[in-house]
Amino acid sequence: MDLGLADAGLIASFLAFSLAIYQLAATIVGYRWSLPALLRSARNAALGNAALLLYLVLTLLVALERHDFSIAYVAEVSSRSMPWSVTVTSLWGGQPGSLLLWTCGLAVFSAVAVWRAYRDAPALAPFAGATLAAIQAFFLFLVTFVSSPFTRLPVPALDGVGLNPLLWDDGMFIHPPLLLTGFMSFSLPFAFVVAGLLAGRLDRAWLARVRRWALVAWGIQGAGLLAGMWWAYHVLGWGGYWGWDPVENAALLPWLCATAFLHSVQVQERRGMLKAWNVALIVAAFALSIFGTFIVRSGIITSVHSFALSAVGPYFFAFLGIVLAGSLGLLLYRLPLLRSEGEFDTLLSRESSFLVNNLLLVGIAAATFWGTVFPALSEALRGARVAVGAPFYQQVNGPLLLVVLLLMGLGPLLAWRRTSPGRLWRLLRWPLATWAGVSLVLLAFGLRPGLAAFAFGACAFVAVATLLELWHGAAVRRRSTHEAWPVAFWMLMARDRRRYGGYIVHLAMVLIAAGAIGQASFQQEAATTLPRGGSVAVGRYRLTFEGLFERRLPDLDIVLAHLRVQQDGREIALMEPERRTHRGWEQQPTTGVAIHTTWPWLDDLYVLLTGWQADGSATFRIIVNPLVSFIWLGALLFLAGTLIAGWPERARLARPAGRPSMAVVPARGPSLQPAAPEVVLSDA
Amino acid sequence: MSVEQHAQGMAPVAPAALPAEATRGGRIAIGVAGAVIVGLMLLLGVKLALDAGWVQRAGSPAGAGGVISNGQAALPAFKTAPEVRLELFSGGSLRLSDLRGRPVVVNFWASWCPPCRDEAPVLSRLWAEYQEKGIVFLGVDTWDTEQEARRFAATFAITYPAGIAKGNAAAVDYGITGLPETFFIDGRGTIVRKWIGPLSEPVARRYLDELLAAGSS
Repeated sequence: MDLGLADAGLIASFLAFSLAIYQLAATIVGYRWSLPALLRSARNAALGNAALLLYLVLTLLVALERHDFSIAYVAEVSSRSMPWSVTVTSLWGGQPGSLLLWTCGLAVFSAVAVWRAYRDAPALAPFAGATLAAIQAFFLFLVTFVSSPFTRLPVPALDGVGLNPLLWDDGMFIHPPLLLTGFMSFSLPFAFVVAGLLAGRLDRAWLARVRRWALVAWGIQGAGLLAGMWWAYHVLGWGGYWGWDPVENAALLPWLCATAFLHSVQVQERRGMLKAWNVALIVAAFALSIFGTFIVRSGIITSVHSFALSAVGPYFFAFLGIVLAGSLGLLLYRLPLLRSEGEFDTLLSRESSFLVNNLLLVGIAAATFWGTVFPALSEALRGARVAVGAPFYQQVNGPLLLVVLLLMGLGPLLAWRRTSPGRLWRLLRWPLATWAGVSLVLLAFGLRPGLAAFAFGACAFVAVATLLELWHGAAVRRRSTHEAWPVAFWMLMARDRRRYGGYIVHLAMVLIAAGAIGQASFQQEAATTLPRGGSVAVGRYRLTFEGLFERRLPDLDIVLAHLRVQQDGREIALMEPERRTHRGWEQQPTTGVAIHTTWPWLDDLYVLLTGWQADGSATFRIIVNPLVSFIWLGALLFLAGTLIAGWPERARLARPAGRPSMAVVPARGPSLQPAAPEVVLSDA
Repeated sequence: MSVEQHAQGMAPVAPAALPAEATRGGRIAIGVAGAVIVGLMLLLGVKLALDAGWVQRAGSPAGAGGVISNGQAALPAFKTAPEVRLELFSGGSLRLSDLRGRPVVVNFWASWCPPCRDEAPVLSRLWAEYQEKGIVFLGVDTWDTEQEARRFAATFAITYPAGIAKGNAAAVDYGITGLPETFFIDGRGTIVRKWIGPLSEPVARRYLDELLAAGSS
């Protein structure tokens, strides 16, 4: 018998764990005793680790595709009846596999970050490398010894259990890997924050590095959240896209902290203020990403997403404790270096608006965190299990989010230090007029509740304020360059991608907010049983049931209903909601939602087939979700804005030439801090 | 190097607006944040320990514990088995907690479930053998009609205690995802193994022997 895939996996994961420990030790020893060869070897170990983890993922994929049911994980998450494409997603369909994928992502990102850091920021590199190696070692410890995806079954199974058919969907390709990568990537800004604190080099270059990685993590996590919303809406079939489930909240929390950081970091860059606060935000984002993983996998909080495997819970708990204690200690130790260089001058300034924005975002995060952990805390204290439902979050976060939205329109118009009221009025009058106009027109056309009209007006206010900023910028350019409008816009973006990418993300948020307000305020719903030929009116639409059809595939039975949809007497669509029963999962049929977006009202008709009777009648749940398509449009715009803001600059900083090939030099440059010496590596 | 030394090193270069106060304020803020975090972590730790069954709340029934894991892989060996109340086909009723001190195999099945049919002869055969060694089998009929279930029990000559759990409560408490599923519980009421799908004889034997070995050690 040859060496099985399970053995290969177990050996490779043990090697990877050892390598991570080596990387950690070699970095510490190499730095402490100034041994550049050892540091170089540690840097190479980061590459080796990435290679080993890619190999591990590949091995698991091969095991899944070969149906190697001697491996417990393969037998658990895949089965012979699953198509091969679905089997690929089994890689992250269970706890051990998703941990492996997380670790693989971390290894790859670490390799890139560590390699670049040794080249561009040698003073930070050993510290960042050691931090990343420690995180990596923790995860590899779990993957190797606690929750290995390569554990063998005592006796090979004949067939596997397989993934829940609810997960047999293309969305499974995008949403979980993105979120895993997002969660994982908060390690990088954290590692550089720790490196800066340890090295005592909290300078501009350090801040830029932290900001870049924070932007990467924020962008990936944001995309993962949006993909999750899309998936929930199009596949899960409960009519919404965000349920304030503990796991959704857990993914949102680090993203909120990173959002706050991306704004407040500008105050530090411009004014040298909020330094300790920014460090705390990055620490919080990382700690919350670990916390999120902990609550998802420990079963400590009941959720629809639970992996429900407690074995890793205590380890995550301990790791979280170490991260928090270490970070707070470091922060305390370096507090003198994080002293503010300025003061807030007036309330009407850019920095004040960032401060308010931060307080709001952190407030939203705190409320969400509280709601998420409250059931667990209450159970620990009183033994009573309570549930915190969506209404809590809507009531607390709804108003806060509305203020954040308004600030998004106001903030970019304010100048640093102080803005004269007169100038502010000139900038604000058109957006404010739009707000009033839109709200009044909507009210006049009978839009109720009035609060929704007000909120749509607020969206218009932000959109106009942001677009005016873009237009002003392009107009100023045109005056000097005489470029055509599109060229002027393009060049404007290219000149300050960070700023204008941010504006585009703001516009995306306006679209998402408009969609959310529309869906929350004007959703209509009907549950009805129709005989064949019967029809029902929901809102401005009339749906006529034409009958049930059955389609049999080798592993799948589909029952689908035909519904003709009329809008104001005109036929606009044929909708086919389905109910699918996978062989082997008879107790758990899945729904195939039919969604049709109407024109010009942009309502989503959302139809579920919930059951049928022997006489040929069928039961439907019909939901009219207004404006939800705005959310998906916003998601695309979010991606565009994030890419514009975060796309790597091409060779902006030429590498300093003529460095000594190997030397320990004292801190250079206009660093304010008594800094650690740096060891410069050259690429041999 | 101490914090003070750093602070002194800083003084000439940093345009410090509020030197000492700012740092003290920062320390206080970090202290408060630290206290909150310690409090939260303590509470979460208590919850974790309760879930894991490392500690038990005074007066709580056995098995107030949390979620049970999926999969055929080994369970963490610290899950408390939730209570099972069976209305036996043979008459009378039986509670899992009555069997404390003896290793128990709880098997969830139903008459309409084809893999349960594959599994039933295996369990009957093993029952004959392991009964003498002190292991108790419990057959929990789930989502079924009593008539069909009785016929099934007769067909496969099930002699170990089998019956219906009222309202299928046990299936919910154990987090059953499908049938059959089998839990191996030691004398202290801890779930040692969980098996999803039909048990084959070698697998069942291995786990049964494991139970015995754990009980005797």
